[in-house]
Amino acid sequence: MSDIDDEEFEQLGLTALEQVEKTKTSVNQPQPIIPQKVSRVTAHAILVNFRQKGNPLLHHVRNVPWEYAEIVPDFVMGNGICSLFLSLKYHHLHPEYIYGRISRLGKAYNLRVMLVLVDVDNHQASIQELVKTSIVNQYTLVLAWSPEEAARYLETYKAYEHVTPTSIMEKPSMDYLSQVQTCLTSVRGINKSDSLTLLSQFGSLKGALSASREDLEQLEGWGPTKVNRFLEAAQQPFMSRSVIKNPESLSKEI
Amino acid sequence: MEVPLHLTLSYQQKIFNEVINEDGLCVMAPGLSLLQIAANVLAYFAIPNSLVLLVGANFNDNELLQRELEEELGKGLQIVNTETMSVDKREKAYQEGGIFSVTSRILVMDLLTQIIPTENITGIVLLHADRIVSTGTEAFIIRLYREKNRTGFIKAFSDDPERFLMGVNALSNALRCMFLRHVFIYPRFHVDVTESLEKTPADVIELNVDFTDSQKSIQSCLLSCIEATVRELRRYNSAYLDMEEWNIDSALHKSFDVTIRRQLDPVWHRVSPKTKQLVGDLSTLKFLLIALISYDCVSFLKILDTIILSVRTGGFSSNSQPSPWLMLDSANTLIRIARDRVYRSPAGSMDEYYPVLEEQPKWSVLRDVLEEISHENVLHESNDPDFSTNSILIMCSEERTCLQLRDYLSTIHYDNKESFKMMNNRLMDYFQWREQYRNMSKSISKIEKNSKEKQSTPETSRKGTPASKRRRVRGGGTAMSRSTPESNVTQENFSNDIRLERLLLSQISKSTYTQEENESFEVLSDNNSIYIYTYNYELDTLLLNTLRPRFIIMFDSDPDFIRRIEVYKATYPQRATRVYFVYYGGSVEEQKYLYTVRREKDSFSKLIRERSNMAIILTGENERFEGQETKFLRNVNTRIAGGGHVSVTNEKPRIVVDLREFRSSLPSILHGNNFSVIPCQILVGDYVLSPNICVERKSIRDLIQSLSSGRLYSQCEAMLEHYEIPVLLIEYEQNQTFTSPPFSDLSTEIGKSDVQSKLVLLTLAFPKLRILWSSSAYATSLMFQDLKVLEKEPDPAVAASIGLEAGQDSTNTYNQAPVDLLMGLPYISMKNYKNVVYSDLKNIQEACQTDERKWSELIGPEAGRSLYTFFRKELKDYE
Repeated sequence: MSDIDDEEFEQLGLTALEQVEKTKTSVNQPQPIIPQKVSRVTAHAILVNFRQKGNPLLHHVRNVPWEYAEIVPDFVMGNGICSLFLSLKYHHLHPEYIYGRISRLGKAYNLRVMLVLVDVDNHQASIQELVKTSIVNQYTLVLAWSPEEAARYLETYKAYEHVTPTSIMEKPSMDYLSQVQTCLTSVRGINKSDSLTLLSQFGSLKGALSASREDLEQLEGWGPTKVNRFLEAAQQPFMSRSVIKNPESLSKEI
Repeated sequence: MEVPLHLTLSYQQKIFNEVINEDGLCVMAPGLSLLQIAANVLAYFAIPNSLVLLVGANFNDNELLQRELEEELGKGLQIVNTETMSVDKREKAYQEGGIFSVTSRILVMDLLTQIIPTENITGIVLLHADRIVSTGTEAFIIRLYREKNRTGFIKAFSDDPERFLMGVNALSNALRCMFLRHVFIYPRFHVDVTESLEKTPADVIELNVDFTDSQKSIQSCLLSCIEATVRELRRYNSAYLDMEEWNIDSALHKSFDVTIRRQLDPVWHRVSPKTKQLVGDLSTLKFLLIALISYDCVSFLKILDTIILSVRTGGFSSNSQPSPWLMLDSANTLIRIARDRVYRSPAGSMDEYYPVLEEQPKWSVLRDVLEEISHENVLHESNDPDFSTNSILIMCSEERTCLQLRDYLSTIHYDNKESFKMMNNRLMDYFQWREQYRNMSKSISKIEKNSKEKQSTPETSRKGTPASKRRRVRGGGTAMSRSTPESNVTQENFSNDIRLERLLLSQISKSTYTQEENESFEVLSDNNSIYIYTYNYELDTLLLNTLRPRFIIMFDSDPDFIRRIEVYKATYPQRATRVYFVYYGGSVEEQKYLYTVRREKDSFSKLIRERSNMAIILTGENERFEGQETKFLRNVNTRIAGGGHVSVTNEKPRIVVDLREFRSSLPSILHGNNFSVIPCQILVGDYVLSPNICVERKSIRDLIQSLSSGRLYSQCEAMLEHYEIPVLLIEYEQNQTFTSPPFSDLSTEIGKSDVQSKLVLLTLAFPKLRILWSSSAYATSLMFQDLKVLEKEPDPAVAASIGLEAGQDSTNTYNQAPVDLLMGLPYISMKNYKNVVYSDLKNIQEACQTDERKWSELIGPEAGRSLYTFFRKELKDYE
């Protein structure tokens, strides 16, 4: 289609529009497709830079639609969310590439994800470098270890664009037993079966937490280490007073 | 010698002299009175104005050393932990000098903040030196000490040779961490030790007791379950596990499950839930093997019930299958026999039950031994410490066995051989407990049902099998028809149960309540007194010395204690002592004992070989310390190729580190990488690099946990509020493979509970949050270096004050264990937990008792009320 220049293109569009006007009067006729230049963000799909043609990760983007578009970043996953993609193998060959892309993108978009595919073994130095770059240029660095995984990140960004983060904001709501288990297993060395033993022996959480050493020692499966750890958690004060030097005096000394 | 030496045996004196004359690591066989030697070393150096530090001592060590030092050697030992001494007191006490036993966490802080005058430290005595790892707190302490003080001594002690053989060059690595070059090895078979101990052998009578038939069958069932589990584990993880050495013998060793865990550790975040379950199962099964020996039959059944129940609860949350071993025929047999030991119905009849209450075979043996002792000539009781008293000492491995024996001895009727009363009491307790158990079981089935309904479609094809599997799993009733629908099974099962209880209870009351309470032990003549204790490592020596018992009954086997008796006997040859050694022949107990002894011997031989092969670094004194930082970093990090990147500048950049972080290896590595590490209690973030940059560190496990508990979200929120550049550091362990935790399934839909999905949500919620991916703590320290270049130095006072409200003091510190427990409670969030910590509530126990009004004040009316009722909710109210 390279032989059609912009003028011709507009002409085509106009004739098409005229046709539409004409056919509008006759109802229920299938509408012809009107060619348009897509440059705006379409709401439902991930926009992919033409540059990424041939990137294996595109095969794995299945849960959300995607389409090529003229965009500055590599992917646009939503309103104000974009991503640059970098394979470490490529980075090792062309270390300057990513910096060019970063400076072109500038500070556009609210969330800029630097999606890095770790596909080499000696990654430490490059990751260290990318961490620094991402912080200086205000990118969110995300590492993926396979094209599938990278694709899944893109999908998830698109799918969760408007999701409220309730699932990571608070403790999941649970029934009574799981609540008790969560609470008791937060003591080091206490597992689920221990927490059930505690609850069944002492009746309530209050009973379990107020248990004495003698009571605990008689529990099935409770040795001295476990008893000590549990008592430490239940009886040690939340806070010890004046343990460290006043930080103000510290900063003076140093 | 100025200090009176309180060591009698020649080998003890030899060790003492060797340790005094040269810095080194002393590895001894357990039971050879390590602490007495350590106490003498401490006392020897504690001349006026000296400052001697004891590192790595636990509660028992402290207690014994304090006693030894004060009573025998006339020196004081000051124990320093967060509770006993405030910062000003510590500072003053260190100036005055003496012997201090300091908790590692505090000592690091004191060294870093220069509360302790490092140059004036006379020396350090390190106990449990086997625990040292290059990135750990103890190694950090020694490094800080050696940095400023090159003349003070370092003496390290250990009685666990095996730990120096785990991994490549473990011994020389450990020595390097401690800046030591010499190792003194004293196994039991050392010439000096043998000579000292075998002059006066103790009078030992071995009693080989047979298992009952049911115990034998249970044991073989358990062993076949273990074998099956190991086989399964091998099938799933042949790539990671080195299992050539695996056999039933090694399965009995105490560190068996730990070894497997260690082998899987680098890939732990990637192994399937199935594997994790199998590893957990192994520990459970191993525990059951031990329980078979020490628990009475009722308690054994009870623990079995609990395990089955918890296996099921584990099942519903992760939608996984119950543990594979429960599906085996042997598990089925196991449960049946375990129940038959307690109660049984006569063949053919379903409605009659009678209590069986099988006794532990060792009990009657104990009774016979006591009888024999009572016929012995009674010695003339004297207070002369050279002679034994007539007392009888019974040693058990567990507190519960002690209680069991106390119960047993106080209830047996000597004439008629019935120990029923105690067992009947147990059985009554058991049935009371069953009631609670029923409630839990019911609610769990309800949840199971709900979750099943949700995903019922794929289940239909398998409907036939689960019913029968479940029946086996439950272990409740004895008679049910196979075709009963699941929900009814539970009901029927329990109505069965209640009937059974009534039947049994009537039997019990008939048979026993005619007996009267017996306060004293009838078996015994008045001249003997019985003491029942558990093995308690070094404290046992003290016990023997105070009691001077003429008869010792080792109710459970313990190789360490045998040595202690040998040492005791050699020290006081006049004291007449007879030892009864009771063990189950042909059981896992015997095998375990023999295996432990053999293994210890092997370890020592290997250690001696290792010592002779060890490369010794012969360098001049100065050189040894100059390159230390670099050397340390190279040691620690294997991921740095060629070692080329280490660059140490003269200026020390500063990093403020939260106190809780000192559990991890990063602060130690940061210090090694020439940062000045400032310990502070900071509430927002873990590391403050500059006035702008604040870092929250998460290991993979923490990341998963804190994403689902909502903790990370609040932490990010707080960081964003106070800092320009909030950073989340995702840090892998040094030996962990640097790959992401697996997606549950990449081919299907986006999983809501995947870590990656949650991570995406987090970055969407906080576009300003930066993520720092680090393959090891070492890589992190390099990244920190990069980040600090452009930034100003942080101010600890400011960092510590962020997040504090008026009237809250930054010199106080949180205690990890109780605060973790507090955070685990429902209705307590990242926002309101501080109110509780800073309130006048002292600890969790007090918090349980608090009234509703107080809670409302602390965390708001609604949450307060809910939490108040949550504490008090009775399991039996729960439907």
